[in-house]
Amino acid sequence: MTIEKSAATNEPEDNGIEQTSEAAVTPEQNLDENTPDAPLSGEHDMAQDDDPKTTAPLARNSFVKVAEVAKTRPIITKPTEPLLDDEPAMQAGIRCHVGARRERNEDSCFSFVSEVGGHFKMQPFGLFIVADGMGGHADGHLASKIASRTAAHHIIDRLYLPLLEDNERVMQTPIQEVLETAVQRANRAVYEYDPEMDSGTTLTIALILGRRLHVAHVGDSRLYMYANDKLEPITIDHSLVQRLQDVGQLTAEEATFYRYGHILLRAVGQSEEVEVDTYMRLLPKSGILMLCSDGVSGFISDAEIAEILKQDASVNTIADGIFSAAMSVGGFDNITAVVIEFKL
Amino acid sequence: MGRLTTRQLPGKKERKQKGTQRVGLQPGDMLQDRYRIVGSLGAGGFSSVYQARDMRFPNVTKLCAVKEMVISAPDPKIRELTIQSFEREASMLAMLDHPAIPDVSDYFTEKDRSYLILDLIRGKDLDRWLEEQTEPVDQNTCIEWAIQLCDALAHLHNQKPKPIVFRDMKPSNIMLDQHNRIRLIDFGIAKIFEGGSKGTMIGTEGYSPPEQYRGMATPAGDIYALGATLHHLLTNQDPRLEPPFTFAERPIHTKNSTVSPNFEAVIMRCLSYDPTERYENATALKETLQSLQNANATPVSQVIGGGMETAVSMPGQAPTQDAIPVPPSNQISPIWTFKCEDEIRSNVAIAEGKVFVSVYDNNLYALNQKNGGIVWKFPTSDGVGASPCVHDGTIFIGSSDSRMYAIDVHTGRQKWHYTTQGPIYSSPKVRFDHLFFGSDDGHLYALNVKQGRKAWMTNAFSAVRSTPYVDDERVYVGTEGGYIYCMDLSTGKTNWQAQAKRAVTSSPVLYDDVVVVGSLDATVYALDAATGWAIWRFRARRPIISSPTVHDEIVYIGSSDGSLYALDMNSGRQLWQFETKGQVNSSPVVSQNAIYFGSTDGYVYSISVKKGELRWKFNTNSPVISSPIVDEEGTIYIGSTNHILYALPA
Repeated sequence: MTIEKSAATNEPEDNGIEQTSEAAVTPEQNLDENTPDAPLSGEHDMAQDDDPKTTAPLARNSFVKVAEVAKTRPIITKPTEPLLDDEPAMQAGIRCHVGARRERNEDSCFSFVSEVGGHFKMQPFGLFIVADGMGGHADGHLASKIASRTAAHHIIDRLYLPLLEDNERVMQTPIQEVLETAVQRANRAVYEYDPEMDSGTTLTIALILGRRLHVAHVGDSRLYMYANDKLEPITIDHSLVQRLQDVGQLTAEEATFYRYGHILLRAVGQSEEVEVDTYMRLLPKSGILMLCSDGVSGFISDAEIAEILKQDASVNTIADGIFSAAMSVGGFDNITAVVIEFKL
Repeated sequence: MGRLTTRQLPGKKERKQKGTQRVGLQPGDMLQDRYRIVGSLGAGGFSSVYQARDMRFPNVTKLCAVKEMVISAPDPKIRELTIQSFEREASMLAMLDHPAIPDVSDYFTEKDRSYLILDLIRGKDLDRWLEEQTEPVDQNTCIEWAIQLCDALAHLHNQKPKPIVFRDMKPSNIMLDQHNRIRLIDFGIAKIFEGGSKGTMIGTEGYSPPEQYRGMATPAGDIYALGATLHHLLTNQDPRLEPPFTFAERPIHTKNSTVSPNFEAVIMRCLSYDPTERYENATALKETLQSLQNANATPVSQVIGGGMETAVSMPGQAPTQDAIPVPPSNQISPIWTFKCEDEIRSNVAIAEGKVFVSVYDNNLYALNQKNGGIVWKFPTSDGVGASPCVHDGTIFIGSSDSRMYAIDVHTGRQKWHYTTQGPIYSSPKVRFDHLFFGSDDGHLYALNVKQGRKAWMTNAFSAVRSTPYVDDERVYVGTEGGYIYCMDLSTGKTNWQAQAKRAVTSSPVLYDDVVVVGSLDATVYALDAATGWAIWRFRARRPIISSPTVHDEIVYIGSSDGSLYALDMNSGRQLWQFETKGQVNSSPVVSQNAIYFGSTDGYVYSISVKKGELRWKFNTNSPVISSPIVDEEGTIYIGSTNHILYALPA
């Protein structure tokens, strides 16, 4: 299976030239004379938004027929403290399991929560990643590992460590560009690991910084938010089935049983560049986020997910609930759920 | 269209009203036990002139002129300073010794008024004289008067240590005495009394040079005003009734055949837009006039010297279009228009049935919202490029004269002013009874709205022309040095600063705790309001001055690359762009399902919110830099650099 590479290349806009002195420019000045510079100091390695589109459909797992529901042992849960009322806080519980039918767990996930106390508080920082390696390809487990860790490394290096260093100077590279670059680096790392092997993975990143959620997303892993008694999907799948629904060719009901349910329109590691969805939103005062692979969302409905997320329980209990639900319908795929409770 | 009704005549009327409103001296009143008022000779903005009898000479009727000036400043300190400057200037005038300048024989201050006793000049001023003429004055008479005026100006300008600037040369300030000699009356001394009260611009619109509209009064300005006076005398066209600085389009010889090309060229050089292109001084002008007088046939180049041709072509005086040309493609026509003296670059403010517009002609105008009729105007002493802000019956406006003014919405009277160390182009914002604005002195200010007392000022290290955005806790503002600052609302302490590559003249807006602002580095930035962290940025092709507006999670912003952009608030991605043929430095405004903005291609645009499709465009034939404001009824108010404010239907 090959992916068409787009001929589009980065515009050489970001030339890295730092302008050192600036004369004050009056509003009356003819702006035509001002050529735009690279706007911000700092990083210049970020990719541009106008990336090539990788639109060729990718065959993913061969379709597995639903078989008997496997019995699984319940996982021992570590009790977590309820979140304090007045201090902003978040905590995460993760389950990343091979499931009942697969031989290898090709999902990877990552969770990092930082809370700093004392007189000089830091904003809550939470980084959560789910990657679902493509099983039809040779090294799905490696692809998801490389992608999630490369991205995590970049984000922590460019966003978290500077936060620890100095609060005074504001980080100049826009957060969404850091996320975009993280995904592009992950993409390149997977691609360069073995260009011949056609490895690939989904990659969904949720970054909580202060009261804001930033998302970078490729593929069909999902991010949900449960807040104010409502479940809301935050990401949109880059899948054939979603695309068909978007253009009115498939109803939601039809989509559930659609034959090519696992065909991805975009994946990390398939070509030199990948088109990434990045966006942000302001989080409500409190709520629950869940990242999951299609081993969860492909088998249990949104209504069921909502029922589990709304429980008054610890994040680990909730993550277990998701895992159990996915297992109870067969555990046909690897099962990954990252459940984050936040109070900001 | 509506040109005469809005421009100069109301100004004249206003001055008259002021004179009659004030309770002046009555015949029989006595000043200093010496000067008995006989009658009134006239009233100006801040002063009245009376005829009085000097009772020191009981046996003869010795008449004198009494100029009375009202000290309007309520602050005792300022009053004292006003009186001191008055006495200084009166002493200076008393020292002048020139046949064309009336003698000052006495001065004093009584209660809240200062008085100057001058020679009474019998005769008539040239304004009245002109009214009586059926033919324009002939060239030789005019040259003779001009020489006398130059002689008087030279005397004033040569005073040490500082030249005295007459400031208000015009026919009505020139007397023709009973010996047919020229006398100057009404010196600029009244200017001292203008501070802290409403009045008109220094000098008189139509006669004053361009730079005087921006607060500069120099000897070169007197030469311009002399040129304007001569033009008026020779053509009998009152410059107060014409668009400003249009003398070049009204050649003298077409109205007065007695005028030689040489004399016309001399006058046009006096009227150069650029002060350095006028005559070097009054003496040089006088000598040129004398040589004209002596040898009418001398070739122009020898008489006038270099620079004449550029003077005649009048750089900077582009032909002024007639008001509101409406091309057939236009679908809409204005509800009303208001024509003022200079470019409108700022936005209006609307409150209590009035539209407030600030103009580069130094004035803040209050207009009737329904018909555009002038309610009052408030002069500052320099151009006003900032937009006004209305709060609780008070209108706040910053001026290039470095002051922030608080003016009563109903009366147009000043409540207070606050002086910064630099021109103010930032428009103020009110929150929690405090006024927030920036100044070119590099600071952001927070003043108490009631008294104008400073709560805090914070150093932003470069000029602040951006208008601050103020939320419940913080103030956000851009600087010409390329920073975006977030300050604590109550202390002014800097919370964070973020850096762009070039000036941030655009004014930030806050939406969902995200600060959105444009920069001259051609980028739109979205920053986290709490930390200043950049969330995304969008690159236009050219610098951005336009301020963003956010509506339904979409950011609308213009760029000097000619486009209005619609960006997704959550990702910074472009949804669509609408291209114009000029620069979009105007800030868009959204009302109902339409976006309104101006472009330097001369059009005001209305496009659809969703897809950016053109609804209509309106041609002003002159760059539109100002941003529209929409009132509750959907009427759009926007000014253009053609000096016209438009009220347009949605």
